[in-house]
Amino acid sequence: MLIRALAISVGIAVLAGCAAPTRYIDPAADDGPVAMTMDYRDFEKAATDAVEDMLSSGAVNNPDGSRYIMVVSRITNDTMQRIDTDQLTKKIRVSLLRSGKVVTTTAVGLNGAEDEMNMKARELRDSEEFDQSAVQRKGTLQAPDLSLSGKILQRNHKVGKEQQVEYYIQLSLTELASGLAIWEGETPIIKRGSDKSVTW
Amino acid sequence: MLSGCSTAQHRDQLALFNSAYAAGDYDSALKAVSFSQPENKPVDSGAHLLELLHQGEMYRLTDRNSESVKAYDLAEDGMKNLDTAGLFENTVEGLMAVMVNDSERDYKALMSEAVLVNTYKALAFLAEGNNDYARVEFNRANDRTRRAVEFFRKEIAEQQAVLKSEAQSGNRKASMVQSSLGSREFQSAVHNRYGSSSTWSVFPEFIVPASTWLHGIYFLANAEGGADYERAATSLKRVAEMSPQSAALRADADLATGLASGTQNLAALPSQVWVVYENGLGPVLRESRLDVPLILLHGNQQVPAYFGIALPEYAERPAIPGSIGVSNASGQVATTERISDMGKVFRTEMKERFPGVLARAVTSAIGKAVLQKEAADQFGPIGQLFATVLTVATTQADLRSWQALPNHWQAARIDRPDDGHLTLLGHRGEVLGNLDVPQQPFTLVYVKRPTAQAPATVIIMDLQGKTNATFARFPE
Amino acid sequence: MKSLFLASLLVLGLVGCASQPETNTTMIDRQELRVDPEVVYAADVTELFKSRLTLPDGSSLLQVQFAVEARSDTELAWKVTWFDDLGRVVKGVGESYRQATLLTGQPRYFKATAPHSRATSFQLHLREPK
Repeated sequence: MLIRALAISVGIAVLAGCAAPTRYIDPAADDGPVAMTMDYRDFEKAATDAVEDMLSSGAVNNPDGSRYIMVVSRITNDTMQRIDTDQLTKKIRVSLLRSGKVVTTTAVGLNGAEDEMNMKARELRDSEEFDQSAVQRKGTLQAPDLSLSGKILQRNHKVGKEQQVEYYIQLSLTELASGLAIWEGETPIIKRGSDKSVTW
Repeated sequence: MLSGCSTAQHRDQLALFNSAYAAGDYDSALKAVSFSQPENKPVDSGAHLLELLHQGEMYRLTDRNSESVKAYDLAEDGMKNLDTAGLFENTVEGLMAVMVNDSERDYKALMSEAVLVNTYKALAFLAEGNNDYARVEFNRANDRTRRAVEFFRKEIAEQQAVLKSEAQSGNRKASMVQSSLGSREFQSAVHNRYGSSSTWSVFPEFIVPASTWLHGIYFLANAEGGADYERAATSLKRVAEMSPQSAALRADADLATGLASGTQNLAALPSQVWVVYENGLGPVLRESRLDVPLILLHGNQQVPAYFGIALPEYAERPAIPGSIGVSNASGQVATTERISDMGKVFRTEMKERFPGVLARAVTSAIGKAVLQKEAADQFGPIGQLFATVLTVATTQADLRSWQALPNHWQAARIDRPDDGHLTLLGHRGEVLGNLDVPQQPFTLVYVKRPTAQAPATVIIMDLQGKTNATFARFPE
Repeated sequence: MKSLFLASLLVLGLVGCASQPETNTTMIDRQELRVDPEVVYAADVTELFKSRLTLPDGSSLLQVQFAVEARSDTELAWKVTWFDDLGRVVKGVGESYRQATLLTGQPRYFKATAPHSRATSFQLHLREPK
């Protein structure tokens, strides 16, 4: 009992001394410690690799000078971590939009429209309450030219006394007219660390 | 005595849980394992691990999947650092365990239990129609299995090497432990009680066949390409190899292999329905006391002395006899077959852990023997009496375990009939209830029944996780 | 390389004429390469190229390639910031530095592509991650 009491009080003393204050992290200057899980830095690296490669390969460049319309399809999370794959796709969408080459549609998606207002706004058609001249007419929504899909893979191994975790961020850009993947990319993210515990 | 307290408390709690659980009264069972928690404080998931494990399963069996996942998430957090804790621990708590006894420590989950936590979580997510998270949990279950295989392959040997080198470097206690464990008298005492561990009925390698099987059929149903079929085939083949007599397991492995190699065309495959049946009450730990000869050092003299140690031992609890089945309108019946035996899973893990458990029990006994001797030397007879009482009270094995697990798992597969109607048959061939299998390519009919007195919990899940599961209790 | 660069600049100039208003802002004299002393100590930047990549629609993107050779094993962090012809920052995909491990004597080549054809100049910063 004495030992337990001692242990607890030592524990409390240690905890009290170490409580870290909450602070902001500037993503542009974050040299903070790396976790075995995927964090924003990994998504940023994968998105940067993908976008630079898409732009420089000319794959997202419409020869007629207009912007391509892209839809985001399924990005399968095949890791051991609960990831919101939008963390990755949003960065890519934003950068492609900024590049002036690609715009993303929110009117179609695998599980319905990303923005349901696309259809809701059209339900106003024939409503006497609304000024019909401003209601969207039929046949104005634009169909996508390109589809972005992909997979995030995770493979763990034991390397010596350490654990190695490999993430592969695989992306494909499919030209919907032909069904051909006109751009593909893979960013491996390899981390090595303690094998004491699981990686998630 | 003080140290016996928490053990007795846990025993009462688990007895209460068990009587409610065996009767199928999951709400009362849940109440038995609940604990009060101040709102503004985070749950101490390590200290409440055992309760959380039981809670997770009770929530799942009462169709409260998000609560179940929450409890299991906390449980997983609570066992994060317990996974690979070794023989000699540097933590204060580890030292205390050796001084007092195993049951005084926070509950340490078995690796097979950890694998099942992820499996049950995956099933809860599937029931909720959350396929993304179900995939994550199946991946975790698989990774835990890989880690366990590696752990048992290497780390145990390393721990024993540590003990040896500690003993050689002049650690007095370590050398007493080392020479006691190595003595012929000690080994024959243990052998007489437990038999040679090489004759235990175990798997050739660590595996929780039910988890690996579910991993296999999940990836078979959710394959996006060749690599996923390969993964399904790898898991299903592994399970089939562990039970070579099972035709059901071989058929599943063949299906996955065919899909992976392209000899089986997915488009030509009729919609499949798997039935999985968690039957009975899982094994529990019993205390087994034995007197063993230890070798103590007094000065430079080796003094043999008999000392009682308490070790945990698994005891089977009953299952409902026979198997269950499903039949379609044309009278075709698919009967479930045994695919995974929990007792064998635990024995496999215990066999690997036994040297560690034994060493810990001996370390603890030697610690106490030294304490008695010192008490006698310093405080005379009264001191010795006090120390002896303390020793007797604290020599108890850790008998806690997760008791919501089944005795064993069974499985069967049948084509989905066009009208979707299947009849679930009980262990005596009686009709348990009617199943409406939705039109979807892969369905899992999950059945869990702890005793014949309790109703069967039936959850019909879309293995692709596109829709919510339907939940029922049979007989109604 | 140089002539290609000049030629593409010329093309850009022509394209630029039609679409962008003329400005008479004086360019700030900004170093294209900034290397922190810790990096100078351990590694050399042996090459630095820039060129404009012509795309199918006639526009072009600024690309930068540089080479580093380490005298001792070291960690490197690098980042390219892009500027338009008025010297304003053109936002890239991410804000963070990219990390690389340099082995002694191993030449490493890194490439970066501007996020928009508007980018006409850049600054490459090399530093040592903490």
